[in-house]
Amino acid sequence: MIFVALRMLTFDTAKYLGLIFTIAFSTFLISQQASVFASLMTRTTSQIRDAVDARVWVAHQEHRYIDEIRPLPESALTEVRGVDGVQWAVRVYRGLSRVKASDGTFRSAITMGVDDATLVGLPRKMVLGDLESLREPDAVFLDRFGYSYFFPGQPFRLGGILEMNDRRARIAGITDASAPFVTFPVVYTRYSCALTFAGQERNTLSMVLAEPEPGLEPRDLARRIHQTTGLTAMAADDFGWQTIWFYIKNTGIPVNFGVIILVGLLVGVVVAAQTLYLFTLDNLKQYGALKAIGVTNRVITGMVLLQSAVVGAIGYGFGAAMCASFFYFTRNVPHLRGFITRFEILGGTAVLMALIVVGASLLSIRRVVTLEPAAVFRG
Amino acid sequence: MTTSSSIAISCDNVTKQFGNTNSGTLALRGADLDVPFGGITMLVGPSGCGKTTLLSILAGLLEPTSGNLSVLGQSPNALDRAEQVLFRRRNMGFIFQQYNLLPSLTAAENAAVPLLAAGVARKQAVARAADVLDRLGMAPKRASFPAQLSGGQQQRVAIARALVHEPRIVLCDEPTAALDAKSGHAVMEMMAAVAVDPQRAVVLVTHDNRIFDFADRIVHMEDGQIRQVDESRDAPSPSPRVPQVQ
Repeated sequence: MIFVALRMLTFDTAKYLGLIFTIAFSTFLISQQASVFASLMTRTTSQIRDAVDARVWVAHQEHRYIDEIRPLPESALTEVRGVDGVQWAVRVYRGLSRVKASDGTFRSAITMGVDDATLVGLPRKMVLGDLESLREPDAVFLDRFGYSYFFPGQPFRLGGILEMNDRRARIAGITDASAPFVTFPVVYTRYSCALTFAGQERNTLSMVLAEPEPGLEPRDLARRIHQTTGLTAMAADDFGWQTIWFYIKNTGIPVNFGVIILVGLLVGVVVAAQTLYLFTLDNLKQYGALKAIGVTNRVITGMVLLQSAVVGAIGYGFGAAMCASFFYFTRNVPHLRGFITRFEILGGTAVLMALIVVGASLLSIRRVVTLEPAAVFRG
Repeated sequence: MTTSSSIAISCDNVTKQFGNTNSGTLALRGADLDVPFGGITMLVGPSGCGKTTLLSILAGLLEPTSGNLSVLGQSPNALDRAEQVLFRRRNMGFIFQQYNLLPSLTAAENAAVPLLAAGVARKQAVARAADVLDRLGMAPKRASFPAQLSGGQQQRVAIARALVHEPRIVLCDEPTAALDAKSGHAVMEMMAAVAVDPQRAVVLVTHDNRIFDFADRIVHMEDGQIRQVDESRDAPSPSPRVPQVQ
């Protein structure tokens, strides 16, 4: 009876395609919006993720998220270094600079100042140049999207000159830094150099990057640093999540995305489930005849489930492909960089769509199984 | 006279009550009926007289409220739900007033449905169904969908579907009601030629007095009771009044 079920499903092309489109649209809406939301939240932690050398971040005790930095006194570094279990600790600066290209192109840029001696805190993925060249005078690394902004249409080339807060900076490397939450260019330089770009404040130390001694967990070290110095100290992952939660709690972003995802779910539940159910109702007379002829409820249940599974799988496949295509074709769009879909999201969407389809199938199955076959004799 | 071995279906004081005892409807009020093999038994009577209810009970689609029913020597009520379905699938063929063909299947595929339901491979089932369609003069229409067929042709497909698995009982509900006189007559000729068999009983519910001539027995019903049974011939056998279809 498999081919009978499939023929019943595909015979009315408009209904069949309508079902697939509805499920595909719902899948796309849910997975695409969830992916954008997750990517956006991930972007808030881009500098934390790019600093692969250090596993513990230390910041001011009132620190709430990475985009709002309250500087520490230089003594904080010494304090952290003095904590038992710290293998090493280095400075890091994070601030905003006004960057101007020679043709007058201007933009604010996130400026990261990494330790002069060790260069800990640099992203490891370089598009052009090598890490050591950051030690040269006035050297900065610019992320590739920042380069394309300041030098549009030009091939990647080292030696370009920028003005950062009216001071000369020479591009010594181009990084593949992760996209930040706001689409500012990201400039990496040495800590000492960053201070000259930033101008002087009483306290200039943004944060301290620390590495635990072998055998000590980053979380344990972070707890120890906090207990000893009173500063905020977290393992890199927790530090990232603190920023993500700040955005979730303090911005309307999750609500907006949540509403759209909910709309996707509603489209799935209401439209797809209803269409599936109506499809079964349309065929009720045929199911009644099949039951009278001697097709068992088990076989009819299998037929309905097969029909639902086929439209569900095809619809989900199209929706997931549309979602993946969206991120594939927009991967080089500057303001969408870092936006990706994830297997977890596609998997979660698959589970949601399966629940919707199975739910709709159960309604349909209930209707068919309880159908009195004698009804076919009543015209 | 008929012997018990020549009786396909036997009803003894069968009643059917819809709803509860006080406010429900008593659709059958003690029907006694023996349906022999080898002929067409027509159930006739005015609307609401209980014909369709009796047909549904004979088919095992409805349970009688009381009374005894024996179909091919078996009491359907003694079988569980699944066994009833299997019994029906194995032993009964159905012809409906509205044909109830699956619009998405071709004529041959529609006629093959009882075989497919019994687990016969698709190719074999369709080939066997095509043979039956050929006997009904539908060879050129095997690959046509129901929407491409006339009412009479659709009913022939339904007859093929009812006969393809060679059931011992064929139950028909108003098979000519949706057809014009000529098509109805042609369908009944087919029925008489192909469905009637010494080893098969055909029970047919109808309002259509134009087809009474095809009956071997006419059971007149009224108000949920069988009022009269007219035997149109002495011994039940395939009707001699219509030519066999080659």
